[in-house]
Parts: sequence; C-alpha cells; structure tokens
Amino acid sequence: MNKLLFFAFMACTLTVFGQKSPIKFGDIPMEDLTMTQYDKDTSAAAVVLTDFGKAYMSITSVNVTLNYERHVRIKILRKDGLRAADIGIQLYHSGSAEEKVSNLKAVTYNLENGKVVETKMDKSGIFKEKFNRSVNLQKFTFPNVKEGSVIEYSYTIMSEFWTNFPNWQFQRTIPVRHSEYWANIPDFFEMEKYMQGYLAPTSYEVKSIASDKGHHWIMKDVPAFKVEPYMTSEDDYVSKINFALAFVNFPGRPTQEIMGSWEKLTTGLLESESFYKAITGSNFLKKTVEEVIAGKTEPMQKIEAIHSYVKQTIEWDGEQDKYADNIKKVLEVKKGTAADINITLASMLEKAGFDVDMVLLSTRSHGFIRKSYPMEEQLNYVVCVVRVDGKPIFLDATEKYIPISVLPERCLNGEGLIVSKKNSGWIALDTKTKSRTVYSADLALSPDGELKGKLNINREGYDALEMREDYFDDGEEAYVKDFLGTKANWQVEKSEFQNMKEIDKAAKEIHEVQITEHTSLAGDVIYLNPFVMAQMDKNPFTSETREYPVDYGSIQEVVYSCRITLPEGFVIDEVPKSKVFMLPGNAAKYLYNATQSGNIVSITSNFQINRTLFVQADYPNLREFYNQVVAKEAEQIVLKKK
Amino acid sequence: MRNLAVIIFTTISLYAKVGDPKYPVSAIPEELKKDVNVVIREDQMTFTILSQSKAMVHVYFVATILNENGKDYAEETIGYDKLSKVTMFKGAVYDASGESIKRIKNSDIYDQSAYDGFSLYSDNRLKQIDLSQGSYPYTIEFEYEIEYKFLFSIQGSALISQEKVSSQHFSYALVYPETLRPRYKTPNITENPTITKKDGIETASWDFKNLKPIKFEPLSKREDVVAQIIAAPTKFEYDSYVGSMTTWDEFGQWIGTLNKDRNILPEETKQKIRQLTANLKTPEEKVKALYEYMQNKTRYVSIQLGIGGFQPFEASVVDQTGYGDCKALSNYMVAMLKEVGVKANYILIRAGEGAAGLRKDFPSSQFNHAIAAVPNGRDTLWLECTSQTNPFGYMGTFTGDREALMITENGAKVVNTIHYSAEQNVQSRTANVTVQLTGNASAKVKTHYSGIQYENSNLNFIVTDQYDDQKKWVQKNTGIPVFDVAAFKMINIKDKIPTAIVDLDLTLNRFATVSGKRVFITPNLMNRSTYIPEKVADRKTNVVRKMTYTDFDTIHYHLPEGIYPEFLPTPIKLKNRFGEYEATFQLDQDNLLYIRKVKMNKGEFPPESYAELIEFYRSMNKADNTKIVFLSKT
Repeated sequence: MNKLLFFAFMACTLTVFGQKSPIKFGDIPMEDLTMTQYDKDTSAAAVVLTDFGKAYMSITSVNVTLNYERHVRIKILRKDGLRAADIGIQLYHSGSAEEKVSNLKAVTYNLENGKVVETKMDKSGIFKEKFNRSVNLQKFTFPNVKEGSVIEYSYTIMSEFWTNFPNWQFQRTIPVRHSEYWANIPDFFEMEKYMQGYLAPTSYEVKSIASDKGHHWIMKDVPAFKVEPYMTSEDDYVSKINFALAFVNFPGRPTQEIMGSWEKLTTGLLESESFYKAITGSNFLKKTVEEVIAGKTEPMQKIEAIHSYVKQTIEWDGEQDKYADNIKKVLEVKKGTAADINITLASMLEKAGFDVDMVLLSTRSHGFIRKSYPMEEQLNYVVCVVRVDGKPIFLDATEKYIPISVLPERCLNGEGLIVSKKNSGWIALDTKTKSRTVYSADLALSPDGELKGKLNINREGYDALEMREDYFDDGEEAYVKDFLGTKANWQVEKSEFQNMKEIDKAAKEIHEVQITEHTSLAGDVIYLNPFVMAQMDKNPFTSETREYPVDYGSIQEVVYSCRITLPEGFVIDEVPKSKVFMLPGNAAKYLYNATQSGNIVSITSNFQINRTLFVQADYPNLREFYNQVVAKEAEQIVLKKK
Repeated sequence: MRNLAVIIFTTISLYAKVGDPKYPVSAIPEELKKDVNVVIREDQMTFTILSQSKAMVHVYFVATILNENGKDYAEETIGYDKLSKVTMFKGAVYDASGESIKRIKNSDIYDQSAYDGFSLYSDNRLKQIDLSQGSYPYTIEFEYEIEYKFLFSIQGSALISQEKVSSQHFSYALVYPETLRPRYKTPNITENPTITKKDGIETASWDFKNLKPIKFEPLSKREDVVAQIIAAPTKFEYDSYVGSMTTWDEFGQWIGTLNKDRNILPEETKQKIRQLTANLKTPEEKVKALYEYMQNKTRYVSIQLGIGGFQPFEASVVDQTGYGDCKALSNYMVAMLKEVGVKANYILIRAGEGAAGLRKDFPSSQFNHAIAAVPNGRDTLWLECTSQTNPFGYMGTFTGDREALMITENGAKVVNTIHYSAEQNVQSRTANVTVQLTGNASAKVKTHYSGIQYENSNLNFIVTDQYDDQKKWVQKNTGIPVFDVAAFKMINIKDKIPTAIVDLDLTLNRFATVSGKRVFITPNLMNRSTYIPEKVADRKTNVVRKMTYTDFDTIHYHLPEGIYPEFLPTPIKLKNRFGEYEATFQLDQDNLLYIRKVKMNKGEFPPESYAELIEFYRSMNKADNTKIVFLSKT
C-alpha cells in the first residue's frame, strides 16, 4: 500500500454534484411491491432492483479521503431469496487507519392490506465484528423481511486507502435490473480501467466536473451469474469494471508512480530482500549445498539432488505467495509458503553455480493475467527455471512427489513473468506433462465365468503424482483397501508397487486378482464386458449447455488393454467392433480395437484429450464424444459352448 | 580465579545450549508406536469448581506426532467469550531427540471471531496455536487455563478419541467443594476414581497409563467405543440465573426461569392471530394456520450473546423484527398457540443427522437446538420453527426419531420425536421406456419421494428452489450413463408426511448396447445399489442401521420389433434380518416389465450379523446389474 505524505500547500476541495442515485430512498413504486416474479428471469428468488454506487476523492490540505457511496434496493421474491437480507460490508484496516461506515440506513417495505408498511432497522440489527487482523465486518440484517418484501439500504464508506479505488461488480448471483456506477477520478490521477466478463454496459459516458472526470456506467437487465464446474476462477468470468491507479500528478509535485510497468516490477523484485536478494544472499546455505551435491558431476544430477533436498526438508503449508520470509527461519521450522520453498530452492541452485530465472505467475484459482495492466496483484506464485544446454527446466518444490521439469497443475495458467539478471519477458507455463494412465490386464476365464490373472497399472505425469500422494499419505495397506473400494467381487492375492520412490519414472502397480461375478452366464453363453476396471460408465457432462469454457489443465490419456484367455470348449460368438472417432483437429480422440487369435481375445482402448481448453461452442461435440465412449465401453464379448 | 571463571562460563554455556531434552521419541515404549500416527505423552486435565458461579480448567497436553496424518494434534484451539477468560496459553515444540525447536510467543497466537458459518453474530472467539512442522517425528506441548464466570457445563475428557492414537499417560481430576459435588458418568471405563479430601475440598481423579489405540467399525456407534469421563454440576449459576440439574425436572425449571415472561405478544398480533384462527374447527387446523403464519412472517437469524446462548429473545421482539434463532422462534410459536388456546411446549433437542443419542440418565446440557410441540399422545404435532419451507408437522433427519427434552410447567420430561415406518419412507417410481432398434430410447419417469426420502440428496430444499437448481439436481441424481433431460417438473406436496414428485422426460441415446446381432439392456433403469460395506475382520461392535425405507421401481419397456430374447433372467429374491429384495423380469411380446422392490430395516444388530449385511448389499449390487440379452431376428 502506497502511503503519501501530505503537503500543506495544497488546499483543494472537490465538490461533486449531479450524480444522484436514480431512485429516491423510501419512494418504492407500487409495481415493485406487488411484483411476484421477475419477468426477465422467472426463476429468480430475489432481484436487485437498483444497485447504485459512486466513488470520489475529497482532498484537503491535510489528507486525501476516498468516499464510496452505495444505494441498493432488492426485491425478495421467494423464501430462498431471504438470505439477500443479510448484508456484510468488509472494512479494511491497517495500523491505526480504518475504513469507516457512515449514514447507514436500512428499511424493509411490505405491502399489508394494500398499504405500504415500513420497518426501519434499529441498532440491534447492526453488528461490528473483528474478522481477522486486517478486516472488520460490518454486518446487518433487515427486520420483518418475508416473501414479497422490498428492502433498501444506503451507506457511505470513508477510506484513507485512496490507492484502492473500488471496483464495481455489475453481475451477482441474483439478477440485477439496474446497475449504475459513477467513478469520479481527479484529473491528476492517471487511472487504468478494464472491463471483464461476457456482458457489455448499456451506456458509458465521461463528464468533466471541476477537476474530475466522472465516468458513468449503466448496465441494465444483468442476468444472474452461475458457477459451473471446470472453471479456472469465478473472478475471471463475472462482469466487472476494475481500476488500477497508474500515476498521481499532484500539482507542483513530482509524478508519483503507483502502477509502474512489468520492467519496473522486475527491477523492484531484483532489489527486494524478500525476493532476489534472498536468493543471491543467504550464504549460510553454501555448506548445505556442498553436502547435497557432493560427488555429483552432471548438472542434471545436481539439480535433482537439490530439488529433492528442498522437497524433503520443507513442507508446504498450502499458501500461495511470491515473497519469501527469512529463509533461515523457514529452514528452522521446515515449513513455508510456495515462495519460501521455491526461493530457498533458487538460492541453493545459485550456490551450486546455476543461473536461475524466477518465474512469477498467476495460479488457476487466481485467474488470468491481463498483461496490459502491469500490477503486482495479478501475480501470486513463483517457480524457478534453470537452463541446461539452453533448454529451460521448470522447478517447483512444493509437492513431495513432483519430478523436475514438472509444474503442479495449479500453475498451468498461460504465461509467467521472468525475473532474473540475465533474462526477462514472458515464458509459456507449458511443461508438456500429461496425465496418463495405462491399464493392462492379462486374464484367464474359467468355464464358470471367473476371471483370474494379473493387472498392471502404469501412471505418468499428473496421474503418477496424484497416485504417489495417495500411496505415501495413506500407506500401502490403505491404498490397496481404497483401490478395492466397492469391488466386492474382487480378491487381490498379491499387490506389488514399483518405482514409487523413483519419481521421474512411471508409478507402477501390479495386482494379482480373481474376479467373480463380472460375467453373466446363461445356458451355453457367457457375456463379458472386457473392462474389469477403468470403464467410463457415465458421462461427466450431464448439462446440455455450457456457459463458460471447459479447462482440463493438462492433456489426458487413458489406455486400457486386456488379453483374455478363453476357457476350454468355448468359442467366440461376438466381439465388439473396432472403432476410431475424434473431434476436429484431433482435440479429442478415441480408439477401440478388438482382435482374436486362437483362444485369446485382445481389446485395447485409448482415450485422449489432446487440447486443454474447449470453448463453449465446442461443448456439444465434447459431450457427444463422451457419450460415444460410454456407449462403446458398455459393449460385451459373447462366448458360446462349442 | 581465572580458571574458575572459565569453568563457570563453560558450564553455563553448555547448560544453555543443551538444555534438558524433553520427551525424546526414544522414551516411548515400542508397542505404543506400532501402527499409530500420534502417541500422547501426557494428557492432564483438571476441572475445578470454585463456587456456584465460578470454575476453571487447566490442561497440560504433550503428544508426539509421527507422521502427516497426525498433524491435527499440532494445532490447539480454545474458545472463549465474554463470560470466560483465557488466563494462560503456552506452547512449545521439540524434535525427535527432545531438543527445543520453538516456544510460542504471544504474537504467534491467532485470535479471531469463531465464525460458525451460520450465526449472524456471536461473541464467541477463539485463540489458536499451530505448531505443525515439516519433518517427523516431533513433539508438541500445550498448556492452558481458562477461567469461567459461570458454572453450567463441565469439560470432560476422553482417554483416546481418534483412531491410530496411543497414550502413555492420561489423567483427569475434578476438584470441588463438597457442597457442590458434581455428578459424573464414565462410559467404557470400569475403574472407580480415587477420592481425596482436604479442608472441605474433594478431588475425584482418574489415572491411566499405556493405552492402546481404538478402532471405529463401519456402521457402529462412536459412544460404544470411546472411553470417557463426562461430568455435570448439581447446583449452578449462569449469568446470575441460579439452578440445579440433578433431575430433568430441575433442569427444566431453570430453562423455565430463563423463558419466563418472554411470551408476551403485542395486542395487535394477538388480535390478528385470533382472527386468523377464529373460524377453524380443530386444534390441528389452528396449529397449521399459525405455523404457516410464522413461516411467512419470520426467518432464521442466529445471534448468540452470553446467556442468549440459552435464553430466547422475547416473543415481542420476534414479532417486531421478524427474525430469531431456534429458541426465539420456538418460544414465539408456543406463545402464539397459547393465545389461541392450544397448549404447546418448548423442547430442547440435539439436532443433526446421525447426532449422538440423549444420555437420558444423566441430566445435563446436551442440546444444540430448540423446537416446539403440541402434545397429543401418538398424534403429537412436532414443529420445526426455523424453516420457512418445512412441511407442517414434518420432522425429518434433522430432529426426527430421537429423544428430546420437553419443558413443562413443573419441570421437564424426556419425549420421543416422531419416526416414520418403512411404509412411510417410500421412493416409488414408474417409468415407460421406448427402445428403438438402434439402441436409442426415450423415457417418461415419475418418482414419488415420501417421508424421509423427501430429503434424498436435499430434495426437500431443491423442491422449493429455483429452476436452475432443480435442473442441476435432476442432472446429478439421474443414475443413467447417458441422458438428456427433454423436460422435467417437480411438485411439492406438503402433507404431514410430505412427498415430492419428480417427473422426467428423458432422451436416452445408445441406451441399449447394440453390438453385432445382439442387444443388451440393463432393466434396472436408474436405481442401482452401489454401496457395499467395507470388510472388517473380527467385528466387535453392534451394527447400527438408522433408517428404514422402501423403494419400488416399475419399469415398462416397449421393445422394437424384430428382436427376441436370448437370455431372460429368473426372478431374484433376497431376504435377511436387514431387509428384503425382489426383482422380476416379465416379457410379453414387445413389452418387458421390470419390477424391483427393496425394503431395508433399521435397528441395532449383533456384531456377527455384519457379514450378512455385506452379503446382502453384494447380492443386491449384482442383481441390479443383471442384463437381458436379445438377438435380432435378421
């Protein structure tokens, strides 16, 4: 947070006029009181009739205050809309400075026997609560709210944190009939602003008022925002206007830069004790590094040794961050944030003689990066890159079972910003790591329908990472128990695990199994589905339409192959047909291959998702692709007695 | 002289450096380390009753955490409010050899509002210390003391409360003036406490060494396994309200004092509700009218401050603001009923699906919710007052089928809330499915969900929710591999035993598996049992099934011409003490009729019956996946 020291010579007070709320407090049109459903969305449980906001600065000789006025009117249509009557306002504080609420008014209006009955909120409905160190919550709830009520509230927040110009969210989880925002930006503030979301404002104009520019947005009939699965971050899709303060040019004062540029940010980070200086400093690590790489000659061996040391020594506390705490302390408690861990890793690599580039990024849950707004807040995570023979190798040591050259799935989100003395610019966060699992079964079928044999499962990339986490966290016994899950008709004679600790190799499990009741017997016929496991038996996409893209993160591949030896005296009557189908551009592909030779039937299926992002227009095809896979994998082999 | 100084200096520096290793891992007996995540080294609790309105608790707890799964033990959270004060809270952590890694400073203690996720406001706060480390094993040490400006409940202690935890030493002591001797109960503990006396102060204490881990079996009751000491006061005082709780009557009288004169309604409301019920004949009609009046007028807002955790707001406040918590709304309901001449009672209950049962023989504060009831023997009306949508008289998984405490004029009595039979908890489905030769099909499905099954996957909420949420429910709860919802409808029938009807119009692409000359159909359209209880060797605890219900599925298939059956399964029947299952397959020309009926019983069954339960589910799972195979005539 930038804090300006204020100057006595400037005494400039701005008055703001002509920017009133479009509605008058307490003046509720009869049609809103009698409304029983919202005609633009008849399923709405409540609708925001008007949401008005205005933000402006008051500047005096001694301080700058950011004022934020809000006036909201909501119609409660159904009982499940009652929760719209519980309001919480977050108030930031730091040191002795605190955002303050004033002029809080809240009134409920009900229509009783044709008469409007007003109930004002009294003090007993208002609570202020300390939520945590930097945020207080001002909570309040409306009295006498029921189906059909109209509720209305207004308040003003006064804040000293004037660089945090309030963003405005047009869209909510309930529909909004009229959303209106005035952002009065003093001429000596250079403010960047950007719209996000899939909706456009109904009108936008800029008016000059004294030494301010008044930006005025209106958005009408805003539909409710709906959350869907496989979205990177809700924040990316909701319709919103965001502000970023670039410069302030107070008259007679040098320009004060607030936002800066990516280059400036990089320079700052290179100077920072919590960032680059922590990497080049921290000389106490030298001895440890020598011990860790003792006897190693190849660069790759050294990198692996250091990476593995950091992973085993420091536990990730689940926090995503880009600045490190004191590294010495981190190593003492053996626990830290992503930044603590990866900056320690970088420092150790640097001590071992490598050139390390730091890469700052925005995790999937943190949203897209908008490169034209060089703001630090857009980045929330840091990983390392070292170059061996000119090839970049990504490193992250937060996950215990992650090999080098692989980033955790949460990092796979576009590009990252390079920060180092030698390199700069953006780098694609693509490590070409797949999620891949290969099942192979070699089974013998008995005349009474029992299957017996070996089952191999090989997992690579993110699938292996996930499997190793389960395996090591729960232990082998629990893992096998979990693997069996509801497979009540399975007997596992023996289980073996290979490469569990060699994390750069595929994780292998081998089970010797006996499976009863998988087949159906009817007289002389045996029916058998070749998938004893890993069958896609349900389409995960149950919704017919999709409003936001489907984002897989990484490329996916599942291979299932099985070889079944038939019992003596049986012949094949039918096997499923081989089949291949794919989506345009090979975005997704499915192969099913069935062969027979002598008394052996072999089935191989290969399911691939070769692109990570599918936009809304691709959705019907993608869903149909899954439908076809589900149908194909339900097919049966039919055997008959000779 | 010089030499001496050097010696002293060395000694001191040595001492400061090494310190006294505390709780090294090597001191744990091997047998207690086997197959556990945590070894408790010391668990000492003393609860002291200082007077009728004052008490304190002192806790000293040390545990060695052997792996990541024991991490929860590295964090300690203590709650407090305006009537209690944390007078001491310390923490330290040691490495495997017992060397100190870190001691907690005051600034490391995290202090925040205890936001429970539903209270709008409460004065409960919490303090938290997190001592978790990145490498194992390590040992954590906590000590704290809380002073209470009241006496109402007494903190008890469990010897071991989780699986894969062993303990080297446990002790619990109750210290009290003889005149305020509390009561206690020790489930799964047979040893008597040691009693000592000094100057009118008595101490009851328990002490155990080297405790082995416990194991919870599936479908068992926790309270059958956990050894613990629970205690409650006799005479007590909370926020200047004095009472006694040796009997439920006394406890009820105290609650009665808290509720006294809080049932006064404004004159205007009195008139309104009298008018509202004037022309209604039976008491039940009146209760229903007022219940619905309350549901429309009020909503649930939880505000818990001091005694407000036990005392309802006045009925007049609820009347004016239109909101309140469970106590306030139940008290309001009782007050309104009184006004129209219907006698109703305020009831305390432990709410929640799967909540532990009431310890009937141990009067004490065991409740977390309040409801109201109009007593009338078997026709007693039970009223959940915090929901705007709950059908009148319905009491489901949240508060139904359990013991609760009814507050009466003279005290209190334990009552059983309503429970529904297998014939009342019914899911009944009929479907017409038209299958084409390509395997594609269309289906019209009608399902009634009644009684407890009205709550299946939160259907009770969804049925009054908006269209999008209903659609999501349909998409999530239709158990067919591939389907499109062409249309659907939900109907809510708010009877005393409520029913939700869900009508579905489905398109089922590739419903039947067509491969070569064969067509496969799994006749169980959308109610396949998938749950199979986990195998347990040498089961020790009773098997508990809490719900009884019946499912009916009647599915008519209209088959395409030109196919004939190759394999038609025979009827399947299963029956044992847990339930009954029946499935039949009848083929008549181009029509296939599939009928399935399942009835599950509730109750407590002996440990050895567990294998039968697994077998029942396993057989049901197999039966539900039965296929019918057709051959095409061409």
